[in-house]
Amino acid sequence: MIRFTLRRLLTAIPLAWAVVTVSFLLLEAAPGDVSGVLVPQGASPALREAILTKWQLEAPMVTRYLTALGNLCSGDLGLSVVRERPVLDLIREALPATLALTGCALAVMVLLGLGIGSLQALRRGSWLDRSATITSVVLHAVPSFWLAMVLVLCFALWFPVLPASQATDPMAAYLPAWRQGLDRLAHLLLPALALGAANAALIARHHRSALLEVMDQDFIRTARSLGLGPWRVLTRHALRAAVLPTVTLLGVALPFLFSGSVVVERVFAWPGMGTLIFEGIEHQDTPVVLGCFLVYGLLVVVGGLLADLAAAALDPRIRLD
Amino acid sequence: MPTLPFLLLLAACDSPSPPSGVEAPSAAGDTLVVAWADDVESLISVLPQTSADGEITWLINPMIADVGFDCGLSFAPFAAESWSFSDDGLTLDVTLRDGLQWSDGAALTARDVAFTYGLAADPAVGSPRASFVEHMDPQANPRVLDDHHLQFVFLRTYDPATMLAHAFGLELLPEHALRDADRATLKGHAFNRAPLVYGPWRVASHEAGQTVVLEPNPAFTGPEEWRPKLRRVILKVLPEAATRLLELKAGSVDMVTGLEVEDAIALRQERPDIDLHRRGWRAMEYIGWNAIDGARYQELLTAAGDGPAPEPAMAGPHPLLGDPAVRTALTQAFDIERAMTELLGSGDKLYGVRSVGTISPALCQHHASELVPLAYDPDGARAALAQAGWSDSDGDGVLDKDGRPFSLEILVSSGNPRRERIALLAQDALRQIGVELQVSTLDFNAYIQRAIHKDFDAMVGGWSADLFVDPSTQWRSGPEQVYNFVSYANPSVDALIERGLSEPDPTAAARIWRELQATIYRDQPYSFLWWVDEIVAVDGRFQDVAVHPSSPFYHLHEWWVPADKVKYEH
Repeated sequence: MIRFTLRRLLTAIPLAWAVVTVSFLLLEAAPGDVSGVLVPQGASPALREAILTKWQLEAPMVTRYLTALGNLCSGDLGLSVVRERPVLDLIREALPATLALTGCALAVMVLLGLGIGSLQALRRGSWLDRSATITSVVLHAVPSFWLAMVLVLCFALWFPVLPASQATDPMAAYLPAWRQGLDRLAHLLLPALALGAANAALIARHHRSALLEVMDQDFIRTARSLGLGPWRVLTRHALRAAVLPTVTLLGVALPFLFSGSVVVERVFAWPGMGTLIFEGIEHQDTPVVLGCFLVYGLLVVVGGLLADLAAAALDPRIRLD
Repeated sequence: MPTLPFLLLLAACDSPSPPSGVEAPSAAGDTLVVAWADDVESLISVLPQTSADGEITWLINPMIADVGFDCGLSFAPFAAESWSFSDDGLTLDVTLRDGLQWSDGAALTARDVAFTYGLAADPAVGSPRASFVEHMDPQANPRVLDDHHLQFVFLRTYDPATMLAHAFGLELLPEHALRDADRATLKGHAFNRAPLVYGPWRVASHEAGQTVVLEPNPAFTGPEEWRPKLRRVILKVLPEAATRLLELKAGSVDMVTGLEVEDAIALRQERPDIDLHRRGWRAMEYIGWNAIDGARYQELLTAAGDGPAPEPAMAGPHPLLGDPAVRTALTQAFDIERAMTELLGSGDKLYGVRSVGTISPALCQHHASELVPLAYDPDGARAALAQAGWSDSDGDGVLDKDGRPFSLEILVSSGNPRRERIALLAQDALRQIGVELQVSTLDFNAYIQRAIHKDFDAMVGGWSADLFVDPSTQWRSGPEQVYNFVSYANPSVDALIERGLSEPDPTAAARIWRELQATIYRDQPYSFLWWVDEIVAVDGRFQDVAVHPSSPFYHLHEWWVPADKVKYEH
């Protein structure tokens, strides 16, 4: 297992290089550059020149790429051109909010996915099964930003029971600690739902198939013949056997969660990495974008590794070496 | 408060007047929650700032004089107790109020003023406000006489209000906190997150990307009447305009700036308890017509390599737009009044006024109000184009001349629905006279790069109005004038700018600026569209709200809420 873990971690190196290089090239290919943001309209020619020189914006592309790569190799993510702050500090501030959101989205994904998938399998062919299938296909197909806006309209404007944006209410700081906790939870619900729903639909469909397959197997028939009720058969025997494909799906779903967070965080004004990336791309702040994508790349590698380790722990037949 | 160049006329107000006879409470009460598009990035006044930075900087560390506006700038004492010009008009003596302190207890002295202006002048800082000191003697910008007296020495005299604006226009910075800072990376300095203040407000907390909380500065040593009446102001960072509007409707925020007209109409019906204020003629919009051959200029730029940018005139006139008579015809073909009503009208209210130049109508003395905007006249436009040799010889609906169709690309920046709409309306209008416009909607960075490199035929653009009448940016000619996007070049306009900027007599300067606007309007380098009146929505429980062109938070210390309407008790 140690060799497997090390091998998987080593794959992060070429992945990181690829992420940085592709991101850099895409930013270069985009029309315009950060000077559109840095140089105020109407600036004097001297000021414009001073700003371009200060940030080496007129250096050749290869020079800027090699400088960025060299800095990243030495662990220096550089300075944000727009904010003039170390990118590492910006990521350190934003990462907890994104981890909280993706963690919650993961929970939504698993709980909703397994729950709905199980119900469908138990009520195979019923109207519940059919309507859940249609809903999951629709949820999987709609873009997360659209779903986010629909959720905001429904639960923040028409039936105002949940907050529409941000991670906390600005007045929450003046409330008791328990109400602050509730406030944070309330702010997490809509973005986590918007981010997790599409993957929950995917998991529900996979879990339904896996569960139906397991339900036809001999050990389930044996359990039933011994007089166990359907709920007990499901929770004690079938679920455990059917959950394995879902665990491997979690590793696959992580990149979608992280990429989806960019748009969802923007819609909900969530103060995480997604917002940082969105602003970085908008302003063509190369160090910020490269730093964030690098961290996302590493998180995906680690997440995938954890999913594999969890699958191995659940199924002794899987050999990691 | 945003930078002084945006300071303009007194705002009109759609909202009812505050109830008369209601006394302001003696104690601070209630919280104002404001939805704002930008987060705070820098509270150092000499650096490039977001709009949130500008507003908060002015609230926590105001300029040394209280700036007002009525057809022009006016100044009242604040940190500066008094001031006077020497007889030759070149030296400005300023006396600071006694007993002013920063929030850490250090005395605020003339050295802090000198330090702030020194930062603006330092090329290592790259300050966008370096122009404030460019007309001052480098040895005295300003000179510190003692703790409470300083002297600004100007190299030449010009409009006295502008000279005062240059001398008073920077929000102060504490020398003892920033003396040893690396000037090249000031924006990343810890001061931006925990600033020392001397004004009526302090930053109580800042959660990146979420909120900025302002509270009254308990150590405020300025004039007693500037002590805030509200308990707290919270700026809630909401980048999406739709979210800001939604939260205003839901009642979770009290104030939103920059409302679209159609949103204002809906808001007036759904939430009549919200007051809508007008901020004044701050910004204008135009369609710019490139005077030079943009494609040829790209070749010249490529040939110049890393050398200096070539003279735009070397590219030769634009094959379709080089003739002022053609540009005039294009303006006549566009029903600007109707477009203005459609885009800036709401019932019987109109949030726009026709523009004839880049000097705001708010600057009453200098604005050429006598100029009559070109009327909508498609027949006249057709006739003018025919006279210039354009006809539809092949019957395809598009004019042509010497085998070249009258087809143009028009650039517009994405994310600004009104400007995108302008491009479409213009496209439709010009099609009626046989001119084809192809709309290219670009990301702002790409849009501005193409505009700077003059790589376009036409563009939809806008300018924020300057306080100082200095048309150099838009209209002075030459390769270094990168923001003269349309490469307008007229020697008589260059001469007028030079004369106007050196004229100390405001009446004589006004005559020059009016002549300048008339000259430019004749040449029609732009189809000047309109000045936009920004709409600011504020919950009706707030009293004495004076939304001002200089800031939606003008004299925020005077805002208050009657005891029976307080929403946030804690």
